[in-house]
Amino acid sequence: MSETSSKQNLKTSARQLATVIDLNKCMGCQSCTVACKNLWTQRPGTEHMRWANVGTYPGRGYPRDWQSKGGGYDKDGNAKAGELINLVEAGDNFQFNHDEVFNQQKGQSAHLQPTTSKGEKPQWGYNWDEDQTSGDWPNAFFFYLPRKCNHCSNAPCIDACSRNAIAKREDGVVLIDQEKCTGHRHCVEACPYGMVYYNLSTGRSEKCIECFPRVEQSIAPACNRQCVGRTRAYGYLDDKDSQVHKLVYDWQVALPLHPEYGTQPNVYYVPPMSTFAYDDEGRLTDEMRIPMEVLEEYFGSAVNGALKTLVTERQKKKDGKSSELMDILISRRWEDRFAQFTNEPV
Amino acid sequence: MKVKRHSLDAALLLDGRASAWSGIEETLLPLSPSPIALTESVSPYMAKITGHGKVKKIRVRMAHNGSIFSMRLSWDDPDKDNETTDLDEFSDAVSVMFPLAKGATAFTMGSEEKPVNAWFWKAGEPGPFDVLAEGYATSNRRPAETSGLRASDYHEGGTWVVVLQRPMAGDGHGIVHIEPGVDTGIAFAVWEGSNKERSAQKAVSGEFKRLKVDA
Ligand code: SF4
Ligand code: SF4
Repeated sequence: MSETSSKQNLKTSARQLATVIDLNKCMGCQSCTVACKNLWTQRPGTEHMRWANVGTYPGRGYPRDWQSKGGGYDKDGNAKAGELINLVEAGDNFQFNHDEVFNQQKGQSAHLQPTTSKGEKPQWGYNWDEDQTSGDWPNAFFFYLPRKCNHCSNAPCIDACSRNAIAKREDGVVLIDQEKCTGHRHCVEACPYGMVYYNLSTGRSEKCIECFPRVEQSIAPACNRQCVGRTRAYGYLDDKDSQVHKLVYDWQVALPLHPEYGTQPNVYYVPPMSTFAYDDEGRLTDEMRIPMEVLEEYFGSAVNGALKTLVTERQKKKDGKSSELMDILISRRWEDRFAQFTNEPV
Repeated sequence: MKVKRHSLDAALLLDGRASAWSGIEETLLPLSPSPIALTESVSPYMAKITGHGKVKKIRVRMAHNGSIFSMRLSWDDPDKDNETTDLDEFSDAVSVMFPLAKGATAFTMGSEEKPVNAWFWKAGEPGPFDVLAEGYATSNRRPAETSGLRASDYHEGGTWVVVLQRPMAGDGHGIVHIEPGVDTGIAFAVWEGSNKERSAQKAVSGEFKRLKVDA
């Protein structure tokens, strides 16, 4: 077997798990981030990692400036060189003067404040630009974008690993074999979504594991299950009864993030419909506040059709008619969102 | 290259500062950037990298005493990278490779039929690794105890000195057997951590050179 075809084997799976996130419902509460952190990244060397994270966009994002660090493929399918991420960009590991403030009775003179892992005053951190808007008043705008590894169907991290330590499982989950990884970090450079993190304590790279021990017991991943905004659907893409299938294929309102990266990501987003804009006279118009060019930059040109469908279906509901799409997006029963992955975690 | 027999004890030959080394002939080997474009099928991302191979030469002294093989490697590297404190930092490293079969090639890290065995030292690690490789992407780092590999190192005046030592007898399971009086091949590689060198991003001495081992 040639090396190329063995790479192809590592990248291919029989089925594909996928997540759909409705950006119209995300409120940026970070419950998904915290659910993930509590479960997986409290070990030494993982302090900076947020396998699940939520940022304010357009913005620099997390890891900082991930959208301008390269990686992925060009339009001809060739590898595009990428860059490494440093500790500050990856969120760092802030320390707080808890002892001084709480135990040394200095509560009046000393204020609780963070220092960076290098002992300095922070200049950047996770969600540093939270709720920072784009656009001009009164038409300022932003949207929250929750992210995690996309378990790509054409995963450049797998291509990049010079030790073939990264592979897709039969359910489509992409995992880094911690026994084989020696921390060369070519995957960090190759992932255009900035979703691989280096662990300085183990000397190996880590990423979202799609909560595979839960998934194997039909429990949805923690970020999806703990979402208080009920923004998320989960299941196999080829399961015609699942919400993910219906939203991605039947309704075509759930779109991959940056499809131009060429990785075929498997986290899909229902794009934000945004509020209406004001005109120069301060009158409300029927123009969307978030410019289409901005949304196209994130979700490609398919975002036009998706938004049209969303607006049409929403109008049906407003008019007292029924809409299967709106019923899916509302999901009165949480179980409806997760296909067979509805078992309790405890 | 040649390795002469000296009746010196193993402990002495593990100490890079030991004066015994000054009586052992030194070979200066030029190094050049590894032909990384050849790794396209292993990692198209790695294959794109340029600007590697910052270390240009390595000084080698080798000796054996009939049962122990020792080599003292030194190269100029003003930046001592033995500690990674940020996610984009890498450590300095050096490796010596031997063929395990006639016709094995150093550039490809051997092949399935013709594997290679390497002794790999990385700054800041508790010990060296014994590596078995059967081609790109197959290298398997095994603990030093696998072959009885030992190492010592120091960095002084902008120069690394690393000593690698191993019993000459190998059991044939991916461990090179060095027989007094029988020639073998040898190749070297150096990684400059501050230039983000790792994996195939390295400076190499080229294809295996014949190593004449004194009887
Ligand atoms: S998002 Fe990044 S880490 Fe995850 S599968 Fe895709 S390329 Fe790999
Ligand atoms: S838990 Fe849900 S609502 Fe909260 S930030 Fe995450 S995706 Fe958004």
